[in-house]
Amino acid sequence: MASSEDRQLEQLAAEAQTADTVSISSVESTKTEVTTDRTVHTVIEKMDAFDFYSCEEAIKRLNEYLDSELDSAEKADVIKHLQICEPCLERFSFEKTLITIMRKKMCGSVAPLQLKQRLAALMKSDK
Amino acid sequence: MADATSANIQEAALTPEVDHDNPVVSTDAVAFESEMAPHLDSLFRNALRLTGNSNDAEDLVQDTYLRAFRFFHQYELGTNAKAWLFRIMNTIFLNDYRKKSRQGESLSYDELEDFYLYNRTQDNVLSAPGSTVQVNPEDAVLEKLDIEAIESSISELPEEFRETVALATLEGLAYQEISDILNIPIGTVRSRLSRGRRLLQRLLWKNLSGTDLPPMSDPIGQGK
Repeated sequence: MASSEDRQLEQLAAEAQTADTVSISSVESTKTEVTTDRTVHTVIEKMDAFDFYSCEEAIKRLNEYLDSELDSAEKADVIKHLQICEPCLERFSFEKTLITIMRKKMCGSVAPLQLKQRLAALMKSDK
Repeated sequence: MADATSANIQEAALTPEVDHDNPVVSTDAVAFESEMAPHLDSLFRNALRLTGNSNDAEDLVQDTYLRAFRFFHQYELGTNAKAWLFRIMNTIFLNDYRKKSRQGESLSYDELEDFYLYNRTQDNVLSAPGSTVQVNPEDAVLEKLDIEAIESSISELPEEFRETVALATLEGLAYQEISDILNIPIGTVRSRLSRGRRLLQRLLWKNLSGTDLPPMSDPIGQGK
């Protein structure tokens, strides 16, 4: 009969499936060792031991992530964290949307037509 | 008022390999325009941020454009024209326009909160006047963003952060390009961005919600 701990582990493993194959194998190997007095914390500890960024480490890279300044390995590590950390995922998504919207809105702020015409005329006279 | 012809530009800073005795003036105005004219709006926005007024901004754009035309032969086709123009503009601005350097007081920004704007959406939903429709609080804030709020918030940033934040956030330039434009180390770009964006979020919140910033943790020193 499946215990409640087993069900929790299965649920965690299912959620971790979206992270990557490393975490899945980590979860499954832990599951075989688990006994009734062990809890999901065992799984989380195992997952932490597997090169996952903490929230702090991910947030430290927020700007570089948003600005596509991370190398591919670091970017993958940030994404790995976001896949297992919903609060960070929500915040990072908000920041990304904020920048996208600001950039888009500012495109509506354009140089005066007269200035453009004057510069075009100057170019012609300089030719 | 700055004058393009009398401007004492440190050309070596713009183009280290320039031959001062024989500056080659490109006559390829068509090629220049097709490469540079698409960036006039960005240039004007940047000039507005730098000078703070429309007249000086127009002059600065014109000076930049003419200076760029003069040294167009040094522009490498295929590289980022916008970054090249911004670099020229920044140098001209620093030499000819900046009235006085307002050295910012050494204030500590270490305690600035991460995700300031997001966090405010969680603890204080903006109420749209007359609206009874429940909307996602994050979306409510993002929908209120307009050019005026963005421009005000950027212009209220301390000078040391303003350009770095604007170039990365609004113009989408790479850190290395910003480092070249502002002539600062790339590590400084990162640290200014880190603190500057957090300050920007506080200002955006202030301008969007119409509320003052908390005085105790107001490192900008502009709290009312």
